[in-house]
Amino acid sequence: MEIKKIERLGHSASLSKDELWDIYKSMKTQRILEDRLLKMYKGGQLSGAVYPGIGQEASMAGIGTGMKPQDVFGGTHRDLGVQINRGVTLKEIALNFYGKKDGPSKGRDGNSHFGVVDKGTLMVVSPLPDSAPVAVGVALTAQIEDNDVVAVANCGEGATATGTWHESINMAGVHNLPIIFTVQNNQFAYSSPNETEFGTPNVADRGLGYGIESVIIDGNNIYEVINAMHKARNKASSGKGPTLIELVTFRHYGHAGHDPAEYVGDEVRDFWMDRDPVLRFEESLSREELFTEEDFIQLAEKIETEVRETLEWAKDQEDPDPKEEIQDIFETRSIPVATNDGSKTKTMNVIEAITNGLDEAMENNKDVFMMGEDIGAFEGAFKATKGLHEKYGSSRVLDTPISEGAFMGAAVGAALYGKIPIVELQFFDFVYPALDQITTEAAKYFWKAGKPVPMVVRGPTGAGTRSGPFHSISPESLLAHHPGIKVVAPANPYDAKGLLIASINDPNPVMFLEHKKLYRKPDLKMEVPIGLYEVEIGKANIVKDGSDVTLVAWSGMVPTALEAAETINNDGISVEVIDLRSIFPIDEETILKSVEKTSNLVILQEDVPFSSIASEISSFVADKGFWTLDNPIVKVTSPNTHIPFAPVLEDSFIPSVENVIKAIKELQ
Amino acid sequence: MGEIVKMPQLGETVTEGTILRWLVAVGDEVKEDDPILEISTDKVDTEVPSPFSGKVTSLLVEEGETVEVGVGLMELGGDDSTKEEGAKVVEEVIEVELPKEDLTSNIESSKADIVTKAPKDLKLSPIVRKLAGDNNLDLTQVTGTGKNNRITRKDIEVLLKSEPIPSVPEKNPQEENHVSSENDKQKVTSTGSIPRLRKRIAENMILSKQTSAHVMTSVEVDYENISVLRNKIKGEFKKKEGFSLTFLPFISVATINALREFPVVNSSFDLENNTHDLHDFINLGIAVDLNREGLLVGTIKDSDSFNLRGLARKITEVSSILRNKEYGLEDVTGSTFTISNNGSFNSFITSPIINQPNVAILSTESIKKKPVVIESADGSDSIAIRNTGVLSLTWDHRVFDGSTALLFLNSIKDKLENHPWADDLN
Repeated sequence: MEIKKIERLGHSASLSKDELWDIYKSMKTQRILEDRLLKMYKGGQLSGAVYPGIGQEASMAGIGTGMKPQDVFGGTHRDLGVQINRGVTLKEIALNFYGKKDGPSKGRDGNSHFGVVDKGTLMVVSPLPDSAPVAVGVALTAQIEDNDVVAVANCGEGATATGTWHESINMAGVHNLPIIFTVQNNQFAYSSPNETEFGTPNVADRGLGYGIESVIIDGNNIYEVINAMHKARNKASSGKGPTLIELVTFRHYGHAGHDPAEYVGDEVRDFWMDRDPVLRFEESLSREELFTEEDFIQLAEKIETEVRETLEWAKDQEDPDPKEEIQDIFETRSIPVATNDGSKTKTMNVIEAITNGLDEAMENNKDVFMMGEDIGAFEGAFKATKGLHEKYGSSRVLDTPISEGAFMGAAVGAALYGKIPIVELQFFDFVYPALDQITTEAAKYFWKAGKPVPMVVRGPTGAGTRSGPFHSISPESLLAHHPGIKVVAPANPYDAKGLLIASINDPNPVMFLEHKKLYRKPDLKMEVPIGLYEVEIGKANIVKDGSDVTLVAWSGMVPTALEAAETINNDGISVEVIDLRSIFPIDEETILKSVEKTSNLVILQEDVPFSSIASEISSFVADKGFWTLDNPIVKVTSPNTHIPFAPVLEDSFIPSVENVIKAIKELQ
Repeated sequence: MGEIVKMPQLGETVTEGTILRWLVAVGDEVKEDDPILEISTDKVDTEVPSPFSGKVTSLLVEEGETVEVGVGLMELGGDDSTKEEGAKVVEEVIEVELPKEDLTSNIESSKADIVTKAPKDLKLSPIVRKLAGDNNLDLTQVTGTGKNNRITRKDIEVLLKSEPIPSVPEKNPQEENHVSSENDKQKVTSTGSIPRLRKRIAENMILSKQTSAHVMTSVEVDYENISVLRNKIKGEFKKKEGFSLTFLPFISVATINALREFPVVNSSFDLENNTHDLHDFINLGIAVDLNREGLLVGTIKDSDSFNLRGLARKITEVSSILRNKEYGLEDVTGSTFTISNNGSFNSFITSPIINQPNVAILSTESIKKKPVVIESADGSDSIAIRNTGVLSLTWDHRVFDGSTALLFLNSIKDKLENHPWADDLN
């Protein structure tokens, strides 16, 4: 092996001896730790997996060194080196590898899948590079706050093939965010070489496509990395926007502990072994006579011992308690509930109530801001943000590119760092591209990393406007099924504003479903209090008292339910109508109490029946209210198919007043 | 219209029977005398042979149903259209079971002792079952206003507001009070059903108490002579007969002889019909405990024709066939006087219930060594240890009076104490 020398030039020339030693220590610790972990894994002493970044120490330590303490790093499972450099301890790492209770993810995710948000490393997840949109959100917050925080979105070259990476870097370029995109190009994404992942020779070539400056550097030259990062950080923090740094490097081992990496040719391997980043750094430091061989050996021994001892120690630490597993899904509220004496009111329809709620929320708390497509000057596709951009400006009513994945993840990032983002989906049907960020990041942050994500996602739902299958969905069961998300669906102006304020004040992700047919329904105007007030999440409302049949409905179906109840009253059947208001958490108590009174339950929903909210209600009433039932539980829903366009088809699809009356009459 | 097989009368006092199990199904070919079903009366469980040959076209009653004697059970050779309309409903007390499974007609429910009197397709919803159970309602009294005459919750509520509430006899006073709306386990406690034998015994006991004017009287008997004799011969007896010689055969012989002297104690008395039958046969009834699950009286016909040894054999035989459930109708009916052997369960004194249509029942109590005062020939008293025990008679004061009862009882005592029993065993 013939070590290829490196020269300390540029900014790295100004580093002190102590600083250099810290950097070296960080790299050496990574190498020794990962070596040990890999050996343990192969020896069957570790469960799960290891993803050694051995060989990429210079890239990792260099990225870390180029960041200031307040900066935020969003990386991958391979970036233990960066975590170490940023102050994550061996103990924290070891505890997570053993899945221990006191580890950074409390045993809920293993090996290197963790972050220590307080130390500026974002939670590591498996779908990569899912932390990139979150980092974008951090950068967005930094831009709004102007607080000299720079975000780093790091991944491997393979991950740049994803839509997530593309949307993130694109959005960063559009908004000129204080962010650095580092790509550690270690030549192979698992077994796939570069040419299977992108069509340009280098990752850096793509910067042009995003309007972003990009550089390509020797990722195994610690000085080059430090210099490139230094420059990029300065640029970002001075408002000059993002940089794409491609760090060309090589991993000595396979993708994961079990992978022998036979796809790497010998020639390639030899080339890179000559450029071992740790050895190169040692050679340079010795050549400058800053440190000796003895220093290196002593440090190595010290680190070895520390690594072994820490792993031994971690193994014996307390395991998490399975009984506590159901906790930590939702953060509890600390903000006091907004109340209002209701003395001052205004007649509003649903959309007006929502606009009013958004306005008052933003006025009350400067950290509340909005993101979405066409919500700024255009005031939104449904005019929900009417007058808001004019009043609050672009930093608080932000137009995003058509990148639901990126801006949803950005909302998570902003929520983690002190903001309360309200995301508008132009149609809730567009939630699908955002589901990855919602489920992977938003729904899991509090559970996996102990950090709450206070954000609201609002948008129009529902059929009846001849908008076809892609603009008419009822998404509540899709969303409610995933733990970690709250779902609400108001059906009138008063509830719309009250639930919106409650959702904004809730420290957890809330999906706020607005049925588009209710927005401007002529007979659906109410006196809505001026000033903040809340409708409690998780509480249903009995909108009509009755004694013979309980009819549960929500959102767009509530008027249908009320009309059916009115009509059938003439036949002497008294129907109690419950407006669910909250889908998750659901008000079981109110429903059960009503069914106890009436002994009959009809559930009306616009959504398709299979695996739906109506099915869930049927289930818990059949369980907990079994002995109160006089008839089987009835579901009145649309057919289990897609929402059609043709008026005659759509009208037949949506449950009607007649359908409800028929169902009720058949009970006897 | 084919032949109808009717509920037979199995025993003079039998007025109804319960269908235990059908042995044929609709469509089966049946020959005369083939067993077609199993029924249970208060006396006995038995198979019913078919009086006709033919193809089974209709089963008119369900397993578990109780019907009066003479009611149609099955049709042979009729046209296939006659289905279950013929299900006769009897105005009997209904027990509404509240089991977890559906109460709609189900052939499998024959295993349970549910007796439902409702039409075949009755659907009882959870709330209806609960309310019926909580209030002990007789659902035969309820007309359903729901679909297909289903009983709805409203029907129950209407019923509860009306007077009087048609209810069943309280059979489970332990039923929980339901605090409504709690989502934990608040269901009706459904009770176990009463086994047939127990039910029969229960009914008979009550009936007997309501019929006779029960009075109990007793004497103390000195069994020492018998005891000495027993001890002397018991080994040889057991070897020869295969069973042990107890006190019961001695008491039985003495009783039989006393009954000869006092025929009124051996009679049957029917106040309602104004008849008093004096029997010239003595059919001794021996009460046999069936492993604490029930009591049956086994009959030894013409018991006065047996000597001590013969009677001992008979007693053992009867106990055995009763315990092994090998008895027929004649084995458990026709007694004229009954002995209940409580002594074997270590009683001091007992007053059993008269086994109708007897007019008295003798209870033997435990025999133990006790100190007794012996008067010697010279008039002096001394204490001796002797085997003694109480003999109690519960008798029907409608039929005779205390004088008769005590004379009869003392006659038994006298025979037990003074008869040369050794002679009877040679």
